[in-house]
Amino acid sequence: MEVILEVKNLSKKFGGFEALKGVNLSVKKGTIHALIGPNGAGKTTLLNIINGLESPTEGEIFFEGKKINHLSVEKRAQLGLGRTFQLLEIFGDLTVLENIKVALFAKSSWGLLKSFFLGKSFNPFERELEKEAFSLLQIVGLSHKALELAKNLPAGEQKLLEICRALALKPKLLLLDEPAAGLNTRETKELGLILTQIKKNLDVTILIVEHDMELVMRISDVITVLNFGEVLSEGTPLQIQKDSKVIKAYLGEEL
Amino acid sequence: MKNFLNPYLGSFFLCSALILIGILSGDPYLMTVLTFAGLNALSALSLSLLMGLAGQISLGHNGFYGLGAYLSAIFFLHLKIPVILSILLSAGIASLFSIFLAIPALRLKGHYLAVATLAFGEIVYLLLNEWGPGGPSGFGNIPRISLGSFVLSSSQAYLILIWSLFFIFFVFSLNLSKSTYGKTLKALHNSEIALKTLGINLFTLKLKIFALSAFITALSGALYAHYVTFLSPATFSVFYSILILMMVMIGGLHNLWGAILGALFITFLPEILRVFKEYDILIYGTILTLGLLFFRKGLVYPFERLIYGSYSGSKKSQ
Repeated sequence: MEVILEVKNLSKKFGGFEALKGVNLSVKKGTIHALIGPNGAGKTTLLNIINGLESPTEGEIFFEGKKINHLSVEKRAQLGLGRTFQLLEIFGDLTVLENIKVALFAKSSWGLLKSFFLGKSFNPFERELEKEAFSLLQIVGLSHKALELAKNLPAGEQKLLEICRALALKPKLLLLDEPAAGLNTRETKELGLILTQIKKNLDVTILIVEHDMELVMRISDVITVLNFGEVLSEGTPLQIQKDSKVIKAYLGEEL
Repeated sequence: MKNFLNPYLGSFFLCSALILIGILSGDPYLMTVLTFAGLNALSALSLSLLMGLAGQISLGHNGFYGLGAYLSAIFFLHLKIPVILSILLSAGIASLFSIFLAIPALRLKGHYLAVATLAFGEIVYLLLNEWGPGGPSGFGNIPRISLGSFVLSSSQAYLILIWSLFFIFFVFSLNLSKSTYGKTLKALHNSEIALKTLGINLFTLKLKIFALSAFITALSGALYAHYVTFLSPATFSVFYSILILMMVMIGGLHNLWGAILGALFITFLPEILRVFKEYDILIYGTILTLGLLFFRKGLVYPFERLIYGSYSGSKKSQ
């Protein structure tokens, strides 16, 4: 299978603290690849470096075979790297629909002056955006809330909105940072279904950081375990569940 | 009734009403104050686009106002360019200046951006004093606006022109604020990081709205020059930036209508307070301070409540 993201020998130091030590990771196209590990293992730091919010101290990142170390966050997004955040970053003062329209808009060439001179009713582009945004909202089951302000949604739906907004980018690789945190069991189950659907139907590869082991084991194709900034183990859910090193890292020496 | 609440029609009625009140009164003083209110409203609108919509502060708009006024007057007097062209040209050049300012300044945020733009406004003010025709005492004989042999000279004509132009720019601004581009600017308030991860270049986003805002303020300045026909640097001190800032804040920063309401209120307030003679400035200051303390959402808020109900005002208004 084709590799979409390759991280080679990645290190990150914050002053004297080494958050990542020589991490190698390769994500195959069309998979859901989970990144797990105890708190402080460096999972979010790794996502931030892949997506460009932080730069590595050492190491290289390849996206579809192209080195992207020097590219800005915006450029990486344009290449097809979408992401969501652990602490929500939705546009709370906009409606649900507008959140998605803004994301779709980013890919268009519709400029300031056209928006200034042409009213909405003379503007076929706005209607197209609306249609497309609606069909994206249907994927995550939020179309019935399209006209509500995003900040008024319950937390679970805000998470889905953020995922949907990232999808508007038509990403090739989606980085999800703890999408199930704060969700109840039913919502987590739904999220799992939605993510598998996204993988299958939209041809999106997903790299997910997640603490909910039940979800991770159910949806992932490959799991990488990070501990103290190093890759501890990698394999299928079954292999990882049986890996003694992983059990030790999670549950302590006694076992 | 529903149509009347449409912001496009509503602003048409309001601008027409202001023009009619001025003309029907036949009072040259009232017409003058209304015309100044229109010029102020145009500048306030430009600041409302920048601050209210995109969340970027500027205390340097006096610089653009001054550049627009001086350049347009000088273009006509020295280069003999037709007035309408010189107005557009000066606004265009001021807008270019805004880009030179914005390239370093927009990397800053909040207070730092405020100080950087403040410095720009102050530099323009000092340059007008040093190099402007007539220095600190200014210069006159600036021609009225004309098209061929047709010269706009009466107070009525300027009242109509300024409020019509304001109406046109208000319509454009409404377009922008309702468009997805406008929503993208509004999203700047919520999360810059999210916009970046969606592939949006924040710098050009801010740069463009800054240049547009400067253009509109400079246009207002150029119209001022050809309306008053006399310019001196004192008009273009930082006080002007603070004046239009007060207008958008008193009017309501989150809604474009705030620019009209604030401009009318703050332009008329000192005129009304004249009856208090030497105490007027004291009362003026007290009213503005109380306004900022107790009407945070601006003069526009009671209208929003009236029209949209108690809680959804800010959602539907922009």
